[in-house]
Amino acid sequence: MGLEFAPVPLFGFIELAELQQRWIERFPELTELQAVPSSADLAGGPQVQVFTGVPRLRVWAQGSDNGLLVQSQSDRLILNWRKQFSGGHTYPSYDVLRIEFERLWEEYSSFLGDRGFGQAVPSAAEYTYVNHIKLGPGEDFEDVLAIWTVPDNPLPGTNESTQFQLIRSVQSEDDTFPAQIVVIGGPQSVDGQRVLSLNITSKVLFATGGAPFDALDAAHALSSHTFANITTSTKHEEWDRE
Amino acid sequence: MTSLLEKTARAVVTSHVQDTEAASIPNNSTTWWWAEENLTDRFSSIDSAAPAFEPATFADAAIQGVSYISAGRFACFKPVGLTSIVDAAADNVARSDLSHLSGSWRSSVRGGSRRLMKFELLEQAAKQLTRLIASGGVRANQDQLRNVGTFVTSFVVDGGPSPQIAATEFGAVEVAWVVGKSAVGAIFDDDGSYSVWAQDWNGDELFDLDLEDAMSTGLQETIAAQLCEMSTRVRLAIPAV
Repeated sequence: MGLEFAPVPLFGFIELAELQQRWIERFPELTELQAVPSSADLAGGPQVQVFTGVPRLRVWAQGSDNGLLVQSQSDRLILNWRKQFSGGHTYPSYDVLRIEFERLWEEYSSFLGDRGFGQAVPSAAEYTYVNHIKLGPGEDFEDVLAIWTVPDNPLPGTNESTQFQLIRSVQSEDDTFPAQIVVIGGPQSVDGQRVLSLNITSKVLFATGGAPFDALDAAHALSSHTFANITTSTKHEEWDRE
Repeated sequence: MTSLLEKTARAVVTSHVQDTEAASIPNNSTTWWWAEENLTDRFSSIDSAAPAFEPATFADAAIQGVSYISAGRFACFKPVGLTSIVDAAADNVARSDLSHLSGSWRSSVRGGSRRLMKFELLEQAAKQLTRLIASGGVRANQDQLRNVGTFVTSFVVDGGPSPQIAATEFGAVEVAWVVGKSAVGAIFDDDGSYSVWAQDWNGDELFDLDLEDAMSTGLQETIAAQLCEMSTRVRLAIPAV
């Protein structure tokens, strides 16, 4: 889950490093990375970007054996949960992660205030579900995805790879929260097991009204709803999911 | 010597005039594949086929071959290796006047030069607005922001012109779409009032209205029609700020 906001001017590496001190006890393992470009800058496809001065940076702050990862830069705050670094713990649920993220957001905001940077002005909230759905013997996409069908007549050749992407726009009744859902799917092998990798990202814009965490809740609801509806009822029964 | 690109373009234009079958082909990827596979070796004078064809209108650096493909559809091709691929496709040009061809195109999702979809345009607008607020350029209250958001969301369309958002010298929020000399815009004051204005292709004023209540349906339709007309003349999206 993440929030994107207007870039904080003059928020460089020194400030970014100092910011980490706000949560260093919970997230002690730090890694320096190049900043993620603004998502609006990526619209329209790849672009050549020319920088002057010091490149913008991002810091990864990782928790100890709990799978949590905080990513911070001058225009973004992101909290991830990664299974491979979770020390065997299960996914802690959205509600638990949201509490941690709200705390991080307060710490980021108070840091900006304390350092005289003013308030962060968010423009978008984003929530991504990453699912690895195991495919049993003989199972394929059509057994998992409600939107997938086998063609009436066979296709030529044999299947080498199947990947897909769906992009859907969502408009709330009062036009406050325009949103976009991006679903990316494809086969993967995890621990020798064939799986369908399904990433569902919902981004909600709210620059013109609303609170950041309302938008985050909306993004989570969209991703969750999409996952429920894009998967088959047979799989729901298998997972004991209503 | 005629390049493959030009050859392809001319063939497709000729196809529209001579091959009525083209008009019945649905707008999907098969259409473009069919066009590319079947038409590359058939061409005659581009001028005689479509007098209103104006390649210069589409003379973007990366997209140079634009071809009328069938009633209501056209596509542009670009060379890739030894063949060409469809780089952009358009619809909504099935009007009686062929001059409409000179503008109404909508790029495919392929390539970096495509025009932006509604959500992407809204996201750019949101970023402009938040940067203005963060910089202290506007003293925006929630009602004012909501009005700006409703206005922008109502009129932004897939592949349309990019909304530009700025602060006036008095701290109001101005939204404008500009293509050539034609423009549509609105200025939102923090007391809830707003004004809406537009000018035509020659830069002449179409209207300039001060409003306090919701826009009439007629005015909304007028603005939408003006933006639709402007959309036909957009070639590429404005780069993100």
